Amino acid sequence: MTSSSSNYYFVIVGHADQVVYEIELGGTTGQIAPTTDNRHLNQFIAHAALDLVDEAMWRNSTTYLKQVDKFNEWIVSAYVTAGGLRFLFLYEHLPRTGEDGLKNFLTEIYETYVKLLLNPFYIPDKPIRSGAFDKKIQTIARKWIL
Amino acid sequence: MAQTKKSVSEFIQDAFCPMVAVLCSYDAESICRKNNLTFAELIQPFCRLPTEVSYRDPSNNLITLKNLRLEIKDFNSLPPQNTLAKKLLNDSVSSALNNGIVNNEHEISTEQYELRIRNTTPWFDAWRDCFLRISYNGDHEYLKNYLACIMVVSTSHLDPMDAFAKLVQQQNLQQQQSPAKLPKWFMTNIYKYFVLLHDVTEGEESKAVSVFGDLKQQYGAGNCHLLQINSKRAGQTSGDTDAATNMPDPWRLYVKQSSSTTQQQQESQSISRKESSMSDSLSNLTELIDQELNITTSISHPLSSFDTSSSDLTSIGTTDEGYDGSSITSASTIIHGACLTLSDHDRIHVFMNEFVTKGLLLWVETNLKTFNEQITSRRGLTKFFSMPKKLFGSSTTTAKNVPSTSSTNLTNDSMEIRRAGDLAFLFQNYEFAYNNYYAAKRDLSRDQAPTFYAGVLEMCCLSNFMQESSASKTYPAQYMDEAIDIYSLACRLPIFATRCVLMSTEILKSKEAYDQAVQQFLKLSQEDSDLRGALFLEQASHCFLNYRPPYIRKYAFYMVIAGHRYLKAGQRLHALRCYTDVLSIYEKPNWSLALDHINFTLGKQSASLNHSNDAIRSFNALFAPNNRIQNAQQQINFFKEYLTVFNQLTNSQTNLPELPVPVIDNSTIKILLAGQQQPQIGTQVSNCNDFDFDETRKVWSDLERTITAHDRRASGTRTQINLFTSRTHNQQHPIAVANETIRVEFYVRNILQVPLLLSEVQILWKHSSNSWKRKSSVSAENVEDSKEFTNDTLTKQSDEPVECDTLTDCVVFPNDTLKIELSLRPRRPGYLTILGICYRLNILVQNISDQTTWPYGIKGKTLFHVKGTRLNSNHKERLNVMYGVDKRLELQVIPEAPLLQIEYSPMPTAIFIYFFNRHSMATTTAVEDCSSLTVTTTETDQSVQPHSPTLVLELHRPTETGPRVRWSEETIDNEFMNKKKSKCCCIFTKPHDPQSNEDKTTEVDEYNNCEHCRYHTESDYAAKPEERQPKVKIIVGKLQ
Repeated sequence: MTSSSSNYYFVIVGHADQVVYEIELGGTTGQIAPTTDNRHLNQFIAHAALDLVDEAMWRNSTTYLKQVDKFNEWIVSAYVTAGGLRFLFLYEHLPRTGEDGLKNFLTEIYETYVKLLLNPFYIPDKPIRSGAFDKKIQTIARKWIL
Repeated sequence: MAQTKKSVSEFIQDAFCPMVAVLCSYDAESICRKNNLTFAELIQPFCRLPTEVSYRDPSNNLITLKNLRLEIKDFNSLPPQNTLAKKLLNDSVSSALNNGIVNNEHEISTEQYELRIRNTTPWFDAWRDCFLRISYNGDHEYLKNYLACIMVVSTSHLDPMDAFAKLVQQQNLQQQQSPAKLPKWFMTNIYKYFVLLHDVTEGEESKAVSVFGDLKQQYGAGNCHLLQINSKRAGQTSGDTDAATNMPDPWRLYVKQSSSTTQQQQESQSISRKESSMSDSLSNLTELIDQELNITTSISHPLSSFDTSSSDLTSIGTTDEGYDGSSITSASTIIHGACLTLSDHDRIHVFMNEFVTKGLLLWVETNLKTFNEQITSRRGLTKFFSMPKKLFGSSTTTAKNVPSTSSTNLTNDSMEIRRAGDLAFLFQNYEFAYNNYYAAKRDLSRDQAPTFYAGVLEMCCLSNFMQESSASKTYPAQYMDEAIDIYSLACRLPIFATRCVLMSTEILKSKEAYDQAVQQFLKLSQEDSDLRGALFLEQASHCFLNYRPPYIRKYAFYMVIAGHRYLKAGQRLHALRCYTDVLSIYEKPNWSLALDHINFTLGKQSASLNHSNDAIRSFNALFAPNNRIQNAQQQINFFKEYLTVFNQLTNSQTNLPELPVPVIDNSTIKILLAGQQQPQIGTQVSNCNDFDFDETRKVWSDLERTITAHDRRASGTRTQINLFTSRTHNQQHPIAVANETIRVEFYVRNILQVPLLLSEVQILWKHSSNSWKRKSSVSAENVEDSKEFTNDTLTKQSDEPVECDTLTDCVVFPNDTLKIELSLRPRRPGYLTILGICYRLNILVQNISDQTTWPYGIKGKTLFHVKGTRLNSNHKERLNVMYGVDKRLELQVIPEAPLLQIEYSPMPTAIFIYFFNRHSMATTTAVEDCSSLTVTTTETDQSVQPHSPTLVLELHRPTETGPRVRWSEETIDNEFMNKKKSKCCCIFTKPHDPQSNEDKTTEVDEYNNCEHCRYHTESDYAAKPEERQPKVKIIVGKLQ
C-alpha cells in the first residue's frame, strides 16, 4: 500500500478525440491527486498515445490492449470498447494488482460506463459530469489499483 | 516534411567533398584583393566542375565523377571556436525562419484533423549546412583533411621561384610540427599544385611566360598553371554601372561562407541570372553569416598572426581585419570581382578543370593503386597470422593479445585501410570504399577503438548507400544505430553522433523507413544541446506525419516538446511557430489542460516578443468560458501572468483592452429611463425593484388601459415605455431626457475558480452631439463628432456630455453571478450609445505570500452584445437563425424637460388594490435649472401651475357592471368534513340560475343527470336508488 505513491491518470476519449471523462487518481486514498504543476503533461501524453491506440486496436482481437505507448517513465495502457471509445490509463509503475488488476479495473469501468449509457439523459460522446459515476470510478480504483 | 532541394546522395556527396588548401604569397593576395576577395574566395564559385571527369580505379575500371565539388579553404583558416560555433548555429536557425515560405504548404486531412504542414523546414537545412561546414575533423578519419595544397605566387613578385620554394617549405614545416596543429593533412605526401597568378593590367606578359616556363621545368607541367586575371581596372566599372550590374556576382553566396552547399551556384551567366531572385532571398542569411564570420577571423586573428609571423608571408590576420572593417560598414555595397571580366571567369574555369583532371585525379589514381597494393599484401600477411589463432580457439588468444601487443599495430593497419577508404569515398569510388571500410570494421572490434569502429560503421553505411542500385548488400541500418550509440554514449562525441544522425535520417527517409528515422532523431534529442534537440524533435515530428496513416497526435506532441526546447535554446520565434502549428490539434473539446499550457506559453512568449495582439488572444483563450478544469492555484498563476503582461502591453494603447472575465449575461441587460435622480441602492421607496417592472408589466398595462379609457383626450397621448429588456420590442430608439438618470442593470458571471474583484465600474458610452435622424440606420454614427470614452487618454473633463456614476468595488465569487446596477446621466441632447462597461479587474487572493508584488489590476472593458428576438415572420426567417434589431442600447437624448414627481405624504404602510381612498399626494416637477422652459406635459393637467405644482389625484372604485361570481360570506368549505361521497363519475351541474336562491340538491336530481355518463349501464337508469345499495351487500355476502 505504501509503495504505490505514484499517480495515475485515467481518461475516456470519444470518437472525435474529445475528452469524455478524465480523472486523476493517486496516492493511497483514491481521491483526486493533489494538484501538481505538470497536470497538462498527462493530457499531452495521453493524447499522443491515441495514434498508437488506433493502430493497436486493429491488431489485437481483445479489448484490453496492454501497454501501447511509453514516454520517458510514463506508460500508457489502453482499453477499447466495442463502440470504439478509448480508455487510456497512464501510470509510472504498474499498480499493486499488476497487469490483471489493471485489466479488471478497465473492464469494470467499462461496465459502469455501459450502465451510464442506459441513462436516457446522457448523450454519448458528451462529457460525463455525473457525480455518481465519479464516485463509482473511485471505488473501482480503490479496489484494483491502489 | 523536411524535404531538401538536393537529393540524398547529392547531399552526402556535398557533405564529404575533397578539401584543398590554398597557400598564397603576399603579392598574389594583394592582386586578388583588388576584387575584394582572397584567392580562396576568388576560386570558390568555380570549384564545382560542370563537366564530368573520370579516372581509373586500381582494378582499372573507369570511375566517372559527376558534379565533383572541391572545398577550397585558406591555409590559415581555422574552424570557429566552440562558443562562436554555437552562435553561428543559432543564428543560422533564427535567420532562416522565413526563407521559402511561399508555396510551401500542403494539406493533410484525416477523419478528424485538417492540417496545413510546411513542406520544407529551411531552418533545419540552414542549421545542417552550417553544422557540416563548421564541424571539425576527428582523429579517426581523414574525410576533412586537406588532400592538396595550391601554392599561389604572382608574377609581380621579384623572385617567384624562390617564393614558391618558400611556400612549399612553409607547408612542410607546418605538416611536420611535432604537436600536430590545424590544418590537418590527408597523408604525408599531399598533392601540391603551383599557380602563377598574373595581373593582366599590371604585369608584363613576357615575364609571366618565362617564369611559367621555369615553373613547369621544376615542378612538372601538369602541376603548374598560369592564371591570368584582372583584365580590367577597378575604376572602369565604377563609371560604367550597366556593365557592373550585368556581370554575374557568383561570390555573393560564397564570400566568407566557405562551404555553402547550395546547388545553384553554377558559374555560367544564364544560370546565375536565373538564380538571382533565389540569391536575393538568401542574401539576408549570407550577410548575417558574413558578419559572424568576420568576427571569426578577428577572433582567431591572434592565433593566425602567431602562426605566420615567422615566415615571410604577410600576416593575413591584419589584412583581413582591414577588409573586415570595410565589410562591416558597408557589407551590402561591396562589389566582388570588380576587375574580372567574363573571360577571366572562363580562365578560372579552365584552371579548375586542369587542376582536377591533369593534377589531382592522377594523384588520386596512383595513390589508390598504392593503397590497394599495400592493403592486399598486408591482408595476406594477417590472414596468414590469424590462421593459427582460429585453430587454437579464440577465447584465450584474443584475451591476451589484444590489449598488449597487437592493438597499436592493428590500428595502424586499419588506419591505412581507412585512409584508402576515405580517399575512394571522396572521389566517388564507393565500391572500393565500402570494401575497405568493411575490412576495417572486421579488423577491429568495438572495444579496442570505439571511435574508430563507429566511424568505420558510419562510412560503411554511407558508401553502401551511395553505391545505390549496384550495392551488393542491403543497407545495413543497424550499423548506423550502433555507430550513433558508440559515438554518443561510449565516446561522448556528440558532434559525430549528430553527423551520423543527419546522414542516416536522410537515407532512411529516402528509403521511407520513417520509424527508424524517428528513433534516431529521438536518440539525440535528449542530449546537451537544446537547439539540436529542438531541431531533431521537430524533424521527428515531421516524420510522424509520413507514417501511414499519419501520426498526427504524435506529431503534435513532439512539436510541443520541440517548441519547449526551442524556448530553452532562446529561439522564441521558432518556439512560437511550433506551438501555433499544433494549437488546432488540441482544440478538440476538453483537452483544456494541454491547450491552456500551449496558450499560456504562446501568450507569454508573444508578449515578450511584443506581439501584443497575439498575446492578448492567447491569454483570452485561457479564460474561455468552457474552461473549468484548471484549479484555483493554476488560475491564479495564469491571472498573475495575465495582469503583468497586460500592464506592459497596454501602456502604449489608446483604447481600453477587452477583458475576458467576468462574462456579462447579455440577455439580462435592462435599461430603465427616468429612474430616480440619485441612485439609491438599497433604499428604494418601493419594496419592489424598479427593474422588476418587467415582471408586472401585465398589471401595469391593464391599469394604463383603464386610465386611457377615462381620458377624454385619448388621441393625444402615447405610452412611453421606460424599461427596455430583452423581452420588450426594441425596434425604436429609446428616448431619454437630458439630465435624467438612465439606469442599466445586468448580471455578470464569474467562470473562474477565484473570486474576481471589480472596481471603478462604469458604463462605457459614446455620445455624438450632432443631430441624429430618426430614419438613419444603426451603424450611421458620425464618427468625427462622437467622443469615445477612454480612461487611458482622456482625463476627466468638466464638459463631458455624459456623467457616469461609479461603482467602487464589487466582488464576484467563483461560479457565481452578481447583479450590477449602474447609472449615467447625459448632460446634453444628442445620440448616446451604451457600449459596455469598463472596470478595473483584479482577483481577490488570500494566502499569497507576495502580496506586495501582486500586480495592480488592469483597466479594461467588456462590451454589451444585444440582439433582438428571433425573427419568425416569413419563410426565410424561419429557415435561418435571424435576429431582429435591438436598439435598446442606442438612446436618443432629447433636451431637458420637466419631470413629474409624486410624493405621498404620509406614505401609507399598505396599499391594496381598490382600497385607495383619497390620499393627498404632492407632486413636484423637477424643473431645476431649466426654469425657462414652458411646462406642457400631458401628465400635468390644466390645474397644475408651474410654480406650485400640486395635483390631487382621486382613485375611484370601479363600478360593478355585470354579474360576477364570488364567495359569499357564509360559504362553507366542506372538504374533509366526512360528507357522503359518491363513486359516480358524473358531476352534477345544476341548471344555472343566479336569481334562484336554492342550494339544495337531491339524490334524485343526481341520478337524473346520469344519462350521458358512459360508465352507467341501462340497468342503472332503470333501477331505483334504494335498490342499488343491496347489490353491494350481496357481493359482500358472497365473499363471506
